[in-house]
Amino acid sequence: MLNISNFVLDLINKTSIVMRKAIIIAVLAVLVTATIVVWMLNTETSKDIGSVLMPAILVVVLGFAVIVLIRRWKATKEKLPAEDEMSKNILRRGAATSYYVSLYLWLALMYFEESIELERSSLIGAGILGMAIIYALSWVYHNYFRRSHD
Amino acid sequence: MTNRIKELRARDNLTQSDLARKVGVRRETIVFLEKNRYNPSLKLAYDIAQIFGMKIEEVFLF
Repeated sequence: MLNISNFVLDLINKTSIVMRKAIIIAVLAVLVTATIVVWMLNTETSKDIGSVLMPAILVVVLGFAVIVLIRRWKATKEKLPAEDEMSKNILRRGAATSYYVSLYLWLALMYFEESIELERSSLIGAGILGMAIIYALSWVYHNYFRRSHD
Repeated sequence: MTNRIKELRARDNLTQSDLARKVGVRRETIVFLEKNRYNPSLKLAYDIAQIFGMKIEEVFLF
């Protein structure tokens, strides 16, 4: 146990802040992927929807994580900052847009709650995953498709 | 607002990465600045003007 904690502390000391953030993103992506896979395997009621929707969600979540990691790796390689005022602007705009869209997602989930026939916990899980997807798509839109980043 | 960053960068023989490194931003930010698709903060505008040895209003044209 002591060896493991020493190894972790050593790793933290050796890595830069940029790399630490990249490691956190990678770990989160793996955790989300594992959660979705476990959910897909265990949830009987959502098999029909899940067979189409879940792989798509996986692709979006992993794709987003890969894009972010590649950007950070490139920036570190060129000795440039991974974040700056423009990228923070984009994050803020993405968060604002996804907040509004997420409200409609929850409204839609509440409206279709009866007809979807999902357990309440699965419904909440779908909502949270949906919010993550909306945020990822919103960030992609603001980063790559908006005319201006002011 | 337009700017003369591309022209001044060429004058000083700087790449986009060089300029980004000097002012501490990502290369994409310089790309968007040159395309007039991003208006920088006052601090970034000041830093860029300093790199070229000019005043803000000589680099950024209002």
